[in-house]
Amino acid sequence: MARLSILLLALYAAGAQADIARYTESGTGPGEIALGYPVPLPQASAMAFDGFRSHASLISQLSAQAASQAQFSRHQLGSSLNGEPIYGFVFGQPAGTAPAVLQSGTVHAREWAAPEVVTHIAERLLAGLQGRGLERFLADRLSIMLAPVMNPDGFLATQQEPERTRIGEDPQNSASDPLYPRDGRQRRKNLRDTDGLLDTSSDSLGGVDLNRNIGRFWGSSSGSSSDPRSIVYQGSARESEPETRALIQAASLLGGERLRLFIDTHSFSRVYFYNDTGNGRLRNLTRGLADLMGRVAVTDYAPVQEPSQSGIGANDEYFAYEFEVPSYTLELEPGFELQSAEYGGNPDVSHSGFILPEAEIARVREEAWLMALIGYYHQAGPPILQAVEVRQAEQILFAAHWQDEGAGRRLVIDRPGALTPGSEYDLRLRFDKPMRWADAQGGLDQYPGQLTTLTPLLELVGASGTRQELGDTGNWLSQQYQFDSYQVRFMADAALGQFARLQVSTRDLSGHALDADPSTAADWQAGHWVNYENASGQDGDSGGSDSQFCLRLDSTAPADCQSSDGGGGGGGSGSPGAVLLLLLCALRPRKS
Amino acid sequence: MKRLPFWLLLAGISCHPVQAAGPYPEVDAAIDARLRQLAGQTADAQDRAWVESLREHVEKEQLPHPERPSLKLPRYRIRARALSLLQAWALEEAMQSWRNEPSKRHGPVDDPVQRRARALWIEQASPAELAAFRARQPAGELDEASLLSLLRRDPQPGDWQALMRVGGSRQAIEALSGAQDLLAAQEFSRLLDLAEANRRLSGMALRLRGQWARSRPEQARQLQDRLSHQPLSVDLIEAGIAAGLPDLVDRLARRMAEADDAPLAAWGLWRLDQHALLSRLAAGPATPAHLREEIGRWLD
Repeated sequence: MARLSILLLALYAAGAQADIARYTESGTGPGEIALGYPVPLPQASAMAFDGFRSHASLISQLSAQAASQAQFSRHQLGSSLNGEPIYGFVFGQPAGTAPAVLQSGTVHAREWAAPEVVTHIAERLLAGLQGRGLERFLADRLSIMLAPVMNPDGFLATQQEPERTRIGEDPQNSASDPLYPRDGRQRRKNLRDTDGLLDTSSDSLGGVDLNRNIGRFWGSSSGSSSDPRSIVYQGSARESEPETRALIQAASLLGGERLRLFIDTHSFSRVYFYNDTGNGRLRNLTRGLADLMGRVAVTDYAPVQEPSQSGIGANDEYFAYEFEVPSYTLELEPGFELQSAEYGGNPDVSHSGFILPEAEIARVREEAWLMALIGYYHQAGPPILQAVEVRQAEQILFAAHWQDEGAGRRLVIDRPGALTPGSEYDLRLRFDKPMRWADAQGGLDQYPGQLTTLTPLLELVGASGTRQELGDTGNWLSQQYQFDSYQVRFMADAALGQFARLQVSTRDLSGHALDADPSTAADWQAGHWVNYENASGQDGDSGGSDSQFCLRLDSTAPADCQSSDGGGGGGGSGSPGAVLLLLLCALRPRKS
Repeated sequence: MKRLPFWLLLAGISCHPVQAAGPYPEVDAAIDARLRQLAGQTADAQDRAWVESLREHVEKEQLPHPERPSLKLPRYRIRARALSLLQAWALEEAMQSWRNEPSKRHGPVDDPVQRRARALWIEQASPAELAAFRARQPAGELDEASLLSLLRRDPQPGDWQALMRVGGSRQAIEALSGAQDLLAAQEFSRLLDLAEANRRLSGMALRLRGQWARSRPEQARQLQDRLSHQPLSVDLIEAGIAAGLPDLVDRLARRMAEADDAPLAAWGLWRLDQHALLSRLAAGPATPAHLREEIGRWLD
């Protein structure tokens, strides 16, 4: 403990005098800043390890994957001021052809966790491509663009000086915080009007803050600055920087109207910042999605809403206002109070939160992957009950499914069949997406941090209102996707009448209830879901239970499940030996 | 127990009471637990007074959050300092435990504090203590930090092998690289093999092998053979570049004809700025459509 106090004293003493400081693990010499853990150094390795990869290694790994995988491609979004290419890597459907997600990183150079996280997300998506899990589903539904390094010049400058920074020069220095670091390892901005070399003192405060250079709120608040020396310098004009324009190009490539989610990955604070554009539904959905993703982490990430209809020229504002999608500045760990002291680091190192210990990055990568995965999955859209089968002794007696047709869907009955009362049948429901999570051993589990009722509520509702629960003894199965199907054994109660609706209530992994009217395909428009109906047929953002499927309980009942006995349910009850038929029917008018 | 200077701990602190649980309830809980533990220990009364005083104060000044000025950051991170104290106490207690009860030094430890304590203890142990430790503790059951400490104190072949199997950080490869002159070439190569088989070390190990092969013709020949016959990877190609293999371009060009390896070979040729050759090879009938399209974007 005494040694620590000496280190701290040395730190303060040294900081007041030196222009260039060197980060060390525990050094006490002049100009040394003791982090309390090994100083992270970038390494050449395409394979991830417990540390940080060099810029070249990160891009190489993803580029090689783009060459190898048909559903992964590299796109040059632009070039930096120094001519470094800025890449976006698209996973899944070709850019511009499907609903899209964009996650960027390293807008701020010193935030080394960001490129590791964004690259890891790509690596994990690709690793799951051959399976039936969420990755396969996302590849079928979305174009996911991952842009790990939006500020390559700045990032390279930090990686060239991983152990040094300049102190005592920032205008925000004060007697109580004299070590505000700039340049070198702590460079934040791009290389506008600076050579990026630490030893050149005249331009060490140069550069444009690439998270203050865009959108309708550019230059409009004290959250940015027109002083080129400022850490939050907004640039000479809105979208003046080529790196900013590369981000806009990413949106254009994906087709702006197809965008459903934007995440700009930063560090640190353990926060999801988001905006209130004045669109109430978008605000609620954005907040809800931040809650959903934030709960995944062992220590929750907090949603923080910015003041309504104002901004600082940040990237998340641009996407929220221009494209009306959930749009976040994700600040990775550590938290803003503890900074690197969370990991045993020296609690008095200014801005230590930007220097995540190497020993933590593998865990941070994986946690951020799980947050991203559930966010992407949520924005892929709500689930529908895609198909129903009734089997007896493995014989399919009845089968029907929704088939895509134009912008909507059409019901197709594949096989009608007759059922005998008193007999047991297996009812198999197939949804259009993975509905449950598999643990490391492949067993059914909750998605990390979520509390979903694992078993769907299944009921038969007779024409007279009589209800029969089908029990909760079924099993989740994997057909097209992991745990996309549920099978339960049942025996219909003849007291239900001539026919009964099959009512299915369940939620997907992200909490989405079913789209109660699959005939109209849900989509994202103007900051909310459209064609996402509840059980009453009302469009909204909540969904409901599916009642589209009907069981005929009497062979004499009409094929369209409309009651032929005045709406009563007595027909079936008077004929216990009647044949049961299952078929799909339209119980209410459909939208065109 | 020695302490931080009181002025340093309390610098900048005002006298407002702490608000309800902040964003770090787990830290508050840890402090509370520590206080309860200290309650009956008169020797630690001053420590307890300290922590209580820390908890009774909040930050005097705040700074705008770097990203969002509407959010204020505390200039003095009182909770961070309190946590740091707790961590230091926990480490010291663990170290004391290692010292006092030798049996606790053995076997796997999961807790990060215990791992750190054991690594520190290894560095401070007497030769006799270390010998006794080694006699009871197989290197294969130790974590990376302890193995690195052992290698700093008293390197033995089993330590290296264990480190290459369980390591995951650059420190493991840096340690191996630093021992090149101390290890026989055959042993060094075998350790590289082990590291390559460890997914987390494989990239760095391959590149180290490439540097090592630069002055060793036999190693260079082995790399050439791998680049001709084994599945390609970015790191293997980089190893070939690091080794300065003279015919790397030809080898990669030949592998463009193999369906499984054409993508990585294409990446290698692009990496080596062989754009004209790559363009010509990509136009061949054997190149899959996706790869041809991808190469087109690269060369655009």
